[in-house]
Amino acid sequence: MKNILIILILIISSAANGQTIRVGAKHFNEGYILSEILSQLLENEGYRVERKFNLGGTLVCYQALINKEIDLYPEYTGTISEAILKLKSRQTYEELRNKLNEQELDISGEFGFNNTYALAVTDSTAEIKDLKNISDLKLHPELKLGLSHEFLNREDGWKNLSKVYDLPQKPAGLEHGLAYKALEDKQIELTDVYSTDGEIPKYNLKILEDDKNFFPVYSAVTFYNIGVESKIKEISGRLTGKISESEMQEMNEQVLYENKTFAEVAGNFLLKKDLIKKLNPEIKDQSIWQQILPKLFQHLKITSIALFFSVIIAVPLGILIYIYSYLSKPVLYVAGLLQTIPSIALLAFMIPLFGIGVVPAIAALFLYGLLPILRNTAAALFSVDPLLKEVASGIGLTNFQKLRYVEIPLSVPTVIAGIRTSAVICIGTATLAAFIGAGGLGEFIVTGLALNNTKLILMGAVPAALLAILTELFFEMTEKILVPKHLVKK
Amino acid sequence: MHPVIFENTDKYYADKKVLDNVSFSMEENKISVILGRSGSGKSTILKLINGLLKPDSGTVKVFGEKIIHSDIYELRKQIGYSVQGTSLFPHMNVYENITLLGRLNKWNKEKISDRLDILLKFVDLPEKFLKKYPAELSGGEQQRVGICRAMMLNPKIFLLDEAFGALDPTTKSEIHSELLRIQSIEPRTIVIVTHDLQEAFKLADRIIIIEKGVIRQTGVREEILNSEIEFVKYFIRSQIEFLK
Repeated sequence: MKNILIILILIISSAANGQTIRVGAKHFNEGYILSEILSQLLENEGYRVERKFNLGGTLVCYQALINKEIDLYPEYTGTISEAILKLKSRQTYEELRNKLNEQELDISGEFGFNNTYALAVTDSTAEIKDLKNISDLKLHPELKLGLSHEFLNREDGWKNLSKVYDLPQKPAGLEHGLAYKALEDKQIELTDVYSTDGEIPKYNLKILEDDKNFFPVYSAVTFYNIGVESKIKEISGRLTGKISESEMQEMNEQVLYENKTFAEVAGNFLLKKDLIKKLNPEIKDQSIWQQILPKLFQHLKITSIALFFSVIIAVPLGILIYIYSYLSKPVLYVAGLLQTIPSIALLAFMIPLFGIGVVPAIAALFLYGLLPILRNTAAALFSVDPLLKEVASGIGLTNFQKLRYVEIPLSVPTVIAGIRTSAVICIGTATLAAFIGAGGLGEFIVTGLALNNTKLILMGAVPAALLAILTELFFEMTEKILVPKHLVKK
Repeated sequence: MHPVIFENTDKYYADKKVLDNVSFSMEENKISVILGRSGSGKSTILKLINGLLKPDSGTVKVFGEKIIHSDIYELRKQIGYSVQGTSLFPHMNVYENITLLGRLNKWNKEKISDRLDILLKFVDLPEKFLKKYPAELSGGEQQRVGICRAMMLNPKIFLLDEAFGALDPTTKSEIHSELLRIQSIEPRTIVIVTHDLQEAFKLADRIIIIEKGVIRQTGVREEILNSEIEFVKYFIRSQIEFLK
């Protein structure tokens, strides 16, 4: 009864506090910048903004939006029509809005720039080969093309592009992050880019004109549920037509090559455009520890809650399958099956059940943590010296007493070893939980990967590795305390 | 009164018959020794007495009644059980091992410590051993603790399965003497399983010789020594020759 009351109070209080806006972001450079621009714009109007960045890709953000776990996030019209609504034909902005309204969704006006796929060559190649339009490529079958794997396989990628333009080249697949370097080193002569990539000015690249209008328009907009406060719609509408392609490119470049934070870049842009009068004083550069500690704490929180539940479920379950040994095969089989699901997929499965954030992450980590503990508990009980089991019965212990005073105490070292394995697995897997918005050290890694920023990746990976080592040491100590010397197997 | 009676008892392990139509009775407060080679079925007899095993046919009566397996724990409180090897619980110290049954049966501290004193004197173990763990004890010391543990509840029947097998001859001889001394103070029905003729002759009031699940002879020392039964003669001769 008390719990229900608490939950009710929480619901009422959260509903009354309508002034907090949850802003999501797609996990790549431009996604963060646009979300930060929206966040600061809202803060300037007196809203409190909860930044739910690092949600991962399109589908995670979209799920979060329709589950009302975020209020809005920046998205692209082309992505909405192709990946979310899965429409076959090209849509105008108005047509797209109508389709979205049917589903209780809506978008703001277009920010102005079009971040589409494009083909890029270096300035010098463009000059030597006289390349302006994509059609010009037909005359140069000798060109070396290096295209990202995604672009090679997408409907709006090479497959159909080469048909529409009748292109003769045989492209090689390569990692997008390596393409710019490969262009610079002249190992390839042409690659696919996003038209607002910050690397384009940095590497002096020329974008070839899409003269047959093959690529869909990826116009940035704010994406929200139709029912969102009209004031919010009005505020995000203020960005309409405000960001040009070159301005976006410049902002991307500032983050990538001038070491500026998203908040800084977004704030300066809003000031320049006179959309805000002064910078939010709360957004300051934080020291590396100020950045790491809260995430480390969050990481510990997620893993220890998950581990706690793994232990209180798996240990009794392990004892149960020892008592009812006919259950042991099916139960261990199911637990083993859970372990074979790739962690990122397991996290994704949790989204329809629990939405995004901490809860699905804990649920996934909990499932991952089960098997090592379960297996060790059951194995330890099954492998207690049969002579001791027989003697325990023989001298008059009941089955329960035998379990309580002989079998379980003798299994403790192996059970702790299982918990130790689970803990380390959880710490590692929890870095992936950032993909579904659970936070933790994985946020650095996810952002770092999206930005190709080694420093950020290390800010997540090094503390996570240290945490794993500390956990090992912690359990070693626990074992020393809980397991008496005479039980340590030599 | 015979506290243990076997009537036409058969026992199989899978398809293998380990006890074949076994019938005998044991006298109250006497030491019976079941003598036989490894695999003769002698340990099976002990496990039938304390209900670790059920007979496949025939009857096992303890204290005059057929064993009721649903209520086996009450019966086992009256049957001490000590086996060969390191059967002490390795995670419990000597005190905890010996007093386990007393504590589980909710004896008060005083009663436990009184009984403990008596037992330690029986087997001649100094109190400083109480805090030690089995791994820190010699084979003979472990065996003494095992005997104490089995006698905690002062059982009416005491089963010893090769309990002295792992001991060196001197220690073994000492414990034999202690057992006889205890028996003279606190007499009870003791069943000892062994392959050792010398041990049997030293301890037994009555000897049961078993071979391949069949009882070959039951009798006192002299009857066994002067046996006319081929197998018994052979068994005795082989062990005596070995001793020479």
